[in-house]
Amino acid sequence: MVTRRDIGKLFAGALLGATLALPALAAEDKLPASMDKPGGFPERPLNMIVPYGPGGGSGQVSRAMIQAFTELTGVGVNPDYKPGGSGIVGLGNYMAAPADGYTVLEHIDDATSAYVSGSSGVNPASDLVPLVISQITFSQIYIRSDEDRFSDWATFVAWAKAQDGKATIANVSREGSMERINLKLVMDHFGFDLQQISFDKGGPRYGALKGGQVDALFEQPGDVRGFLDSGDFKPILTLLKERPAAFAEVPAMGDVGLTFEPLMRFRGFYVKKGVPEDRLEWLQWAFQKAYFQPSYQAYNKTKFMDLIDSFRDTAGAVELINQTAEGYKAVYKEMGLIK
Amino acid sequence: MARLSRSQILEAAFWIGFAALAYVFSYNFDREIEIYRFGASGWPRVVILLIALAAVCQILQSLRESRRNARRAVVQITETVPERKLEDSLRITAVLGLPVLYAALLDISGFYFTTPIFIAAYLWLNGERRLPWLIGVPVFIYAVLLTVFTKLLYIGLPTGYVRPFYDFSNWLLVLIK
Amino acid sequence: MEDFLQGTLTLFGNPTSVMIFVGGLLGGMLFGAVPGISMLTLAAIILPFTGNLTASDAIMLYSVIYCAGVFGGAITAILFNIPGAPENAPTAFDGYPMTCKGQAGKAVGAAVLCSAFGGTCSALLMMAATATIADWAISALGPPEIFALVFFGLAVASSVGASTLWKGWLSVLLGLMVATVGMDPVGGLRRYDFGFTYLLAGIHFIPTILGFFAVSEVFVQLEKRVRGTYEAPKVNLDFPSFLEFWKLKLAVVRSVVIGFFAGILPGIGAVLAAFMGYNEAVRWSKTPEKFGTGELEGVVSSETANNAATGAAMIPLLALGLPGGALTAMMIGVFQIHGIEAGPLVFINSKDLVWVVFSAMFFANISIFFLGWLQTKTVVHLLRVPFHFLAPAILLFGSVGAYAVRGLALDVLVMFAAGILAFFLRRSGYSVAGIVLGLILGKIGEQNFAQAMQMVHYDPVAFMGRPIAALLLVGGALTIAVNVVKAFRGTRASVDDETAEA
Repeated sequence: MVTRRDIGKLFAGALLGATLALPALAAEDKLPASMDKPGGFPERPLNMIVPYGPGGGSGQVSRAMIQAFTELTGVGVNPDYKPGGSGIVGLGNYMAAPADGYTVLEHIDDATSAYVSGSSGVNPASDLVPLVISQITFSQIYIRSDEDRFSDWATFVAWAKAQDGKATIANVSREGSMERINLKLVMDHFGFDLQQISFDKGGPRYGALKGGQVDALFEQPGDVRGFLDSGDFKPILTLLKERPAAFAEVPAMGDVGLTFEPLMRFRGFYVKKGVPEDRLEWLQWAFQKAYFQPSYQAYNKTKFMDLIDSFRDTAGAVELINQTAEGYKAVYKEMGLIK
Repeated sequence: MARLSRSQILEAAFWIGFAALAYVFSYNFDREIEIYRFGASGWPRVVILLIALAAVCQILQSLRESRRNARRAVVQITETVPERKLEDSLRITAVLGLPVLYAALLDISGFYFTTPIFIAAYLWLNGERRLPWLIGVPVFIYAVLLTVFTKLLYIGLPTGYVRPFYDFSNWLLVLIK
Repeated sequence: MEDFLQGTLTLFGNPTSVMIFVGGLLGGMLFGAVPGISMLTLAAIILPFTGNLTASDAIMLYSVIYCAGVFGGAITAILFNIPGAPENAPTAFDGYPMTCKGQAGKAVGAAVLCSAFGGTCSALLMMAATATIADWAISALGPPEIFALVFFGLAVASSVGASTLWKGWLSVLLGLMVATVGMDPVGGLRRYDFGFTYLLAGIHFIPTILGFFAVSEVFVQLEKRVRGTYEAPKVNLDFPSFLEFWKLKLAVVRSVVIGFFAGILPGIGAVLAAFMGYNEAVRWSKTPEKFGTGELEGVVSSETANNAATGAAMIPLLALGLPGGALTAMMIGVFQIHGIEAGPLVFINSKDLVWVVFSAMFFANISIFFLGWLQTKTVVHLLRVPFHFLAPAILLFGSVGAYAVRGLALDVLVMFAAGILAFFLRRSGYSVAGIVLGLILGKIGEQNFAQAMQMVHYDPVAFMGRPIAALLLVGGALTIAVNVVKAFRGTRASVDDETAEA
């Protein structure tokens, strides 16, 4: 019988050959300063379908990107928020729009895991063309700063083991989501169980930790920055191989003996396959160049997106998506979610 | 004698049937979730059972009432239904159906093309036969909608995904803005 | 007090801010008062543009739209039986029958006064206690308490608005059932989606509400026209007298208290406040059978409660970043556009902003008191427009409103389908408002139930060990038990079908 521990090992093995490269150095801007509009394209504002609500991480990153894009090109972009079904509804709607380059899509790593699990039929690496990936971030586990039952990762694990599965952690959990798989691999390694409690909206999720309804929280640092700055929450584990400078005090995976490749959250911008070549080239230039605009860089910094290299051009994005897909595939197979 | 009216029987049948169907379809997602014992089907099934229960109680209460009425030998006061003409019923069906058709067309022929036609058709359906009004009211409503939502608030309404409607919408949008 | 003065000075010291204040006030009142669209439509549409305003102006704008919109929604509820927002639904129970009786002016006048009064009280309470209440609420009110409150709310709501208790329950349960469509809140499993991506996103409550209230009302009136039984409502501008209000002072105070405390709850807020305010009025009344037939007290209790919830909803929003409803959720978006995280830090880092919001809400409510009368005198004349001209306009405004929420044309289809369904359900004595409440609270209820169960490890004793949750559960169960016993004894005041619609 395959145990949970084996799954962890298997998953680690599956990614061993295709290690997700996370260079510490930031990408350089090698793009030309300007580019002619091909045949007058675009002659009117673009539409951007954002398959999440305006307040969440995707809504925010799309507005920051739109601002930088418009500063750069003078072309407006109308955001069109279509939340629902973990991003699948907006994606389906996007696929119905004509492939003329006037409609672009924002999406996150969920598009990849949904494709692998079969809940979406769109492969973001081949049915879509990634224009740019502009945010790549890691997860952490947080506790309250004034917590007195445990104070760091080691004491948390010891305490959680003693609770016999009754310790609780808040996260967003769809079956097979990035959050759940990362956490599962951590728990398997240490041989303890946490009761995961799913909160689909950020506010209640953070409120649950702050108000003492749950014992810990699984989240990305950019999303809880306010609580970190106020000193309400503190991270006790960073799901990265090595400690990033901003969290030098917090143990990373290498420090606690975790060897699997962590699944990352990434957000980027896409168009449909089939957009005329010259338009595509212009859009690629504009979105990648916008990433390097000072306004966008400043935004990324506030979200801790400068700690690891957040930039991928089209080829880099395809590679990232394919690697991520392989990782999910291996775990899903073992969990029996796919055949 | 206790009797239920036809509409009461129909209603009860509707609810029981609805509950039964919903229960059958709940098998599609009847599986435990690793972090939650009651799974995805626990909550809906409780709701379904309560629907069935409430429907049964509704029948029981109607039965009791009609029995009480029968015992008192009160003549059942049937509402004097006004004579319903077939033509009227057809028109009401159209009044209900036309907006559905309009909504279904939004993704195909777009808001901008379909809306004025819909307004005129709806007015005609509701008995407006004076030509100036049939033209004037749609123009007025359409102008207000475009001014408020497109010109002032830049809201992106459906352009329709089918040519030439898609091109017409974009042409109009460029024209207005 | 010093903070309040400072906030007021900032608000009125800057011409741009004053313009935005006035714009938000008029916009909220107007969008609230045009049947088919609501303050939510306006808020959703302008959200992307708030990036061009300063953070404090943007937040202030939304808080003003909120106050003005909740009031504006009452006008359409009363005049057309079309609540502008779900929290105005109970207002229509008695408000619309009053319009039919030629007392539109009286009902709207009461709404103006009560909205302004409830809102002002709430703003004052909010200023006094935000930080304290927020801290208490976040630790005392977890998923078990929120689930218990939803249960209590549904137990209460099921006995309002339908022709029999069972039909009330069937209405609420139908809403709960519709809320299960989409992804389950724990595992994201597909439920009742029948392979359609659209259904996966779940059925959104805004198109449904527009369909149930606005579209079905248009259909009802058009049917009357076809069958030749249509009667234009009488336009009347008699405002209620001071004496009439004085008689209702208890109802007003009760609704302020209920509204404020229900409003604090994240995710439920104003809708539950309005229903509970209305229902308590019925329960305390010596003549409960008159409710639903055009009783002024019904309008008063519902409108006071939902406006009293506006200030309260700002407490979890500002202090914890927890929205109480659709509009406050958009305010979170506004905060984030400006790089501000709503939460405990707001009071330290952005104290000025908080007090601008507080004083803006205070003055918005005061302004409603004065502008509301003016607006009433104009909007009432909408009743003079021939209804078959108004009908396509309402349907189209509704279409834009349904579409604008999340940009899906299918939502427009859902709106019309809901309209047709409600058209048939209303005439059989079901409560459309009950369905809507079930739909809104269903997701919240299920999610919090699951979270609560996970937290207490499926141990009902541990669940009842939380006093607030236990109290609410027992209260809800008792309410249901009493109503069931009454229903079987046949002593329940039977409301005839005609008045039970809404």
